[in-house]
Amino acid sequence: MATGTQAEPPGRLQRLRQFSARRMRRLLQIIYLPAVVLLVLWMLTFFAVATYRNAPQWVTDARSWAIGGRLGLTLWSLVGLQLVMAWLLGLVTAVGAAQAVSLGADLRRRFRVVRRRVRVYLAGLLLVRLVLLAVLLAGAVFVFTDWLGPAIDVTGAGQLGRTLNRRPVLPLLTGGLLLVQMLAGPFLRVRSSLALGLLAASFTPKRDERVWAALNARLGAGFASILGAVWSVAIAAFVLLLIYDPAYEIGMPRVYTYGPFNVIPNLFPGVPEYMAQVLTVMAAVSAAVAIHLTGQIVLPLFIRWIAMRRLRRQGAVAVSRGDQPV
Amino acid sequence: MAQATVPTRHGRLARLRPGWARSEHPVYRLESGRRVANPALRVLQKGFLPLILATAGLVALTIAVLFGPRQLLWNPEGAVTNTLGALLFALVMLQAFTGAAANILVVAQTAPVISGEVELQSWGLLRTTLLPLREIVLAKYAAALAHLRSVLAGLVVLRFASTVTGLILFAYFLREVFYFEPSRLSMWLREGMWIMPTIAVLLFGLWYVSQPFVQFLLSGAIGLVASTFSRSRSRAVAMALAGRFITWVGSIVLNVGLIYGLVFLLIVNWAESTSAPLQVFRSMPQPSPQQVAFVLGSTATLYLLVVIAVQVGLIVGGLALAQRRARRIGG
Repeated sequence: MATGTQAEPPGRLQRLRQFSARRMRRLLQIIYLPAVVLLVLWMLTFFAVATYRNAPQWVTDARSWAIGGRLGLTLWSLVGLQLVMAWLLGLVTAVGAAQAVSLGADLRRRFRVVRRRVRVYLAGLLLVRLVLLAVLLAGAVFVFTDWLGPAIDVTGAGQLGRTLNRRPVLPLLTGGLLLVQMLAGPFLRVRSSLALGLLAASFTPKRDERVWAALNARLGAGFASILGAVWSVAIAAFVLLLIYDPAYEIGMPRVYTYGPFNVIPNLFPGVPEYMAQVLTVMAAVSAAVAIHLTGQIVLPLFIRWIAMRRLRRQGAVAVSRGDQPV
Repeated sequence: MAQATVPTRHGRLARLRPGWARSEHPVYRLESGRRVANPALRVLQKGFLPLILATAGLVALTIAVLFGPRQLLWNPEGAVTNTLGALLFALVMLQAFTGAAANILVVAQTAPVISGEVELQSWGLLRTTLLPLREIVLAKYAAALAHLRSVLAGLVVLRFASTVTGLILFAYFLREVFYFEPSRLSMWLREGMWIMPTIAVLLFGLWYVSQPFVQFLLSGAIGLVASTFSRSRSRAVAMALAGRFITWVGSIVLNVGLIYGLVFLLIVNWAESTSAPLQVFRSMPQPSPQQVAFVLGSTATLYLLVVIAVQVGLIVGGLALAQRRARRIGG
């Protein structure tokens, strides 16, 4: 059955579609950064002006309540926004990498083009993360100093401050790792998404299916990493419970006062209980961020190696062993 | 510029397929070619898996953020079990929705395979070839299903995620059971009480994991049967959708009824005979824990075996019926 569009010569139709897609991409690249800046500014202004205006009767310190609430709201909104943007960056990069494989043999040059194309998404993500960092710093100034008026009262701030004074190494290490993750994360995401797009393309013989394969690879990797994190924590907690708390015993020596984890040995003896809890959480966060960073650095190398091997074997790319595209 | 094309490789898996499900088979090739030309179907085929992965990833992230950190410090066990429970619930719900969508897609794809030929008056032409009828019908069935592989892949991914989450949650449940009474564990292990419940749990796991494949094939078989019962595509699709819906609702009603009946008879009455609501059971002696474990485990095993047999029987029977009906269809 011949429709109106199918009657067009296939080459012309393809060119028209490519032209339209290119125009859309250009338009998106032009408006992306200004849109992100406007959105962030609107969010900051809206939260500062329109939220937490009338304190309920039970609030004793209305200023602390308003500033703490606005900071929290801004923080979580920015976290959500940067997650969406990181998602978009990963998808665009993976699709670009898969299309690059279809376009020709010189992958190194093609991948440079892909990196240039996603620069605007990368810059947007970095911008939001920097704003997030600024909000965190503003929060620290409000909570720990009296530079912007009397210090506001936030749950846990005093404990954190005292922990920082007494045992500064672990909190600083955690902060440093989080900072590295925040700033280097987008670059590492581009790198891993390029590798995933390449791998997806190496498994897909047909050119037009590579885009879908790259989307699947990127989204699948994201889903797998979230599930991996949840399952790892669950299994680790289960093993710890089996080792330290296999059966209920009355009068078992307790280290922490709360919860069923109170039988786990104290990792930080010699400090008050609340401080040990804060330090334990920081150790866990440091370990999680370190594992995540290592994975983001090492896994793309492995994925790229597999993909290049497959593509070379298929004769799809004519790159020498030293000519690594990612 | 030279375009990079990767040659198609026929792996070992492709060689394991029967002759009518290979691309060399003329009917399979013909049916596949028709489906490749349909742009709407292509978007549905290709977009299903990314949509599932994106939704599942978003749901998992939201649950991990909302349920995990809030309790982790003061109640880690509760935080983990709540997160796993919410994740399992969300994945099962997602499975139900995507499964329903996949079933509709499969039914809509398989229902026109023979009715379409009848409508276009090409069925008689196809029958004049030297190919046996069985091969024609099965090749069409295989081609229709092969084009929905990514849909099946999405369902398998979800099923795998929910299975692992369920297994970890089950481990926590077992720990909870044996935590306050460790003597129960030694009793279970010593007196062989674990054997039948373990077989039932393993069989349930097998049944649960196999469901995406079974439902996929079952929906295809229902579509094929409907295809042989009507002479137009639209009627076949409507009939197949109705058939699938009736099978779905019927199986739910039947299973819920049977499970409720068995639980009422065996757990509420027989296992607790002293306080049984039915008078008949009150005169019976109270069964020992070993007897309870054996009978309940055996009943669950038998029930699951019957369910698996019925599902396989419906698929095989549906395909046989479709072939039988196809023999009677004229021109």
